[in-house]
Amino acid sequence: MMKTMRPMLRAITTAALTLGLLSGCTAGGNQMPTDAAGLTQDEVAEMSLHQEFDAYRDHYEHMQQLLRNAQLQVHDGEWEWGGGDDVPGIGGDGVAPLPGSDTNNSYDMSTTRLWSPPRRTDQQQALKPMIDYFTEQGWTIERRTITGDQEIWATTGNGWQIQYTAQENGDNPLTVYSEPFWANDAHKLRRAVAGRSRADFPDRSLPGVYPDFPEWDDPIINPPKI
Amino acid sequence: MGIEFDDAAASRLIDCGVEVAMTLRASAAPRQSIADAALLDFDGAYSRLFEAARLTESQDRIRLAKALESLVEQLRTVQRQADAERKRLADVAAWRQREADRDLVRAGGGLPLQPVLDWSSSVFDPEPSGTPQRPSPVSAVFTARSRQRTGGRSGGRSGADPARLRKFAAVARVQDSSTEQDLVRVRNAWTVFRSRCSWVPVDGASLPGGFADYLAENADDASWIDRIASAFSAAGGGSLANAALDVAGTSKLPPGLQRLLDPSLTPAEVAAAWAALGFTDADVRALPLTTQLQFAGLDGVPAAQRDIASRAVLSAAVRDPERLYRLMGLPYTYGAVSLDEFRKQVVALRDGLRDADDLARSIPRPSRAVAQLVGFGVSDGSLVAAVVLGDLDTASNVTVNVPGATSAVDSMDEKVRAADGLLAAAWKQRRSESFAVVSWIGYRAPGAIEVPSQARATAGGANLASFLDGIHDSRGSAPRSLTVLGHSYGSTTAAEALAQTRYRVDSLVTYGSVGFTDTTTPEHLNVDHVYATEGSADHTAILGRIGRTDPRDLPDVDTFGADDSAGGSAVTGHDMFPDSGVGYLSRDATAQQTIAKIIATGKP
Repeated sequence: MMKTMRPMLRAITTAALTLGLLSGCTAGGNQMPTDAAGLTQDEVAEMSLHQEFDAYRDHYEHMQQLLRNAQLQVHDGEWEWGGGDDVPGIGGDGVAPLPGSDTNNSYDMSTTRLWSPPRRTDQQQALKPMIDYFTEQGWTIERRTITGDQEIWATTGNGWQIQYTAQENGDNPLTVYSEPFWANDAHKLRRAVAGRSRADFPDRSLPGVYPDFPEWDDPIINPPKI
Repeated sequence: MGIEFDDAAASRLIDCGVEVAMTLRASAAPRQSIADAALLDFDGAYSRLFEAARLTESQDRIRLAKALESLVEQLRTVQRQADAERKRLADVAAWRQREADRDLVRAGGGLPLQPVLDWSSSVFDPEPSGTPQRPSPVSAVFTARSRQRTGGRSGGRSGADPARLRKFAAVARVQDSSTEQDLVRVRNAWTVFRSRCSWVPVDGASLPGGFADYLAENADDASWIDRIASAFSAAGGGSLANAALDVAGTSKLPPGLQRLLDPSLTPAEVAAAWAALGFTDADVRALPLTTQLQFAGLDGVPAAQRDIASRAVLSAAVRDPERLYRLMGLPYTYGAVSLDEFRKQVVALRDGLRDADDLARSIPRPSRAVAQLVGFGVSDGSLVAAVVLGDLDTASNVTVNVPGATSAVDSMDEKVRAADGLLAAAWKQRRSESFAVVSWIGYRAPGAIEVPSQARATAGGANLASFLDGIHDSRGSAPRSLTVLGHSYGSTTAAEALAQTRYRVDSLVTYGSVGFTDTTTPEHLNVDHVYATEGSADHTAILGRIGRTDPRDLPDVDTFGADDSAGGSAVTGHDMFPDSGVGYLSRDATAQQTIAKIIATGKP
């Protein structure tokens, strides 16, 4: 079953949890590095795996919203999926530094969709609507050129980065990356998600359309293969 | 007009022959010593059979070494003859040029000058010999003798200490696994010599086949002695009737499986034996662990089935490390990984494989969303393994990434993450393609102080050549594109491999290379394009290049940048994929993005 938006309730719960944890922080003193959700490692240490799972799902929903909003700036038709996006990535090498993070205590996320404009347009011209959108949002923008491909890269300032590329070959991929999140045990969290994941991502879909993210109470349908 | 004789190919075979002959001779004493130990408390007809087999092995080993040394001498002779013939051809060509110049003078000076000019050229510049130097035929001949392993007619009894027999079998297997690499090197160097030195006639060529037969006999000996040891163990000690040992000593493996597990087979022969066997996945799962261990390392078997066997062996190694440590012969291997290290490495590899399984769920179509463990075993006392993201059996675009010094299977998680980034970036460039990226830790990588030596690259190159050829043979056809990446010492190893492979590779990409030897420069490699990069912050690669050439300085190598660019970051050191800083395959590195484009499109 596909859906376009997640219930607000869980987001509010997580926001409240986050706020509660943040309010427990000592005022002043040493600044602990905060992750893409604004949490310190100590704050995440207070969370159970179930809570981490639910927080991850909220991050996932937020990533899909960012993706959808960016997609609609350039193309409201179908986009090709650049693979599944529901399993946490392995941390330690994210798009932004998180001092003290490694593959065991952090994770990140990313999702990619791709479309090909029916007529080849000038690469700079192809990027313009996205540049305008990023500018409107007040996000930091960087332009890049790599092996003939032109791309625009936005940093939202609150834990997310968005890359849109006009490739020489006529394909335009869009990728949303999270900056790193702390985890108590990234392997356990990844297993918790991958174990419940149905991995039924479609070949292509309209913006904002994606498979249901699993619930904590869902059964483990993908045990480790080893 | 020249002659068809590639000096580098001949030199390569000479070097290989010298080294392998020396190794064969050097391993005689350890083999004798372990056989002597097995003979303690071994009596009866079976001890005489064992002693006879040992003697045949020892004699064949020396005959093989002599055959190789003889081949080396013959090759040196034909190299001198080739030099002489090239010089003669050059002299003839130069003389003809001078003669043409004199003809011009004759034409200008008219008839009166002709006798003088003819006289002076015949005295001072006579025509060089027009008779070509004929090369001596080369003969590479060796035949292994078969060994008797039943003694039923004796009617008596035999006794032995099963622990000593098992130790003999384990040590012999370890020694032979190293000799198998030598066989691959000799066979490959011989094939390259035959194809690039057709000027030299060949009288006899039984040596590579005979070498393989010798190893097959050794493998049969080890299995035979294991079965005899099991029979003594089952009997609870004491002696057994020779007739009972005749039954116990006979292989229980069906002939097709015996053929498949013959360690001397080429990947093509393995593929043929596998096809003839008609095994299903369930059959592979049902094999005993010792057979799965042999099966996991077979280049030429499809990746899906190797994955089943390799995972079974790895699971067993995590569950019962002491048993697998012994089964792999590591207690008896000089310089082998310790048991403690073994325990750590198998757990780390298991975790890395789990990560690979989870990451594989996100692989974009049309690639298959799977991870495969293609081989898990031992090479030169180190644990080795290869993990694939994607399906190695069906992907149209295959990449094999070879890491450098100090790499071990416990760093597989890092290599797999690098592979994941490459696959995602390559997909963006060519989304119609199905990709498979192999993180190949299939050789004993050198320690930091071993980097100046070529030894690990030579042994690893033989393993990698076999793996690469096995990809073609197991699929029955070539992938649309095959790219080999070599990091640091891995590039040196990859070049050694590509000087030997039977099938052509599309691209070799070196990053942070510690260099190529004189016989592995691009013109000697079975590859269409060679690319190289190195970051200006990489101050380590140059330290490893003592005695080797930076590939960026070689003709026929295209270079690309690894520093800051309009679209990517500079590497901050020598690493492939560090936790902090930027490595060559880090997600945002200029080098990574360029390499992904080469993988996808064949050019930067």
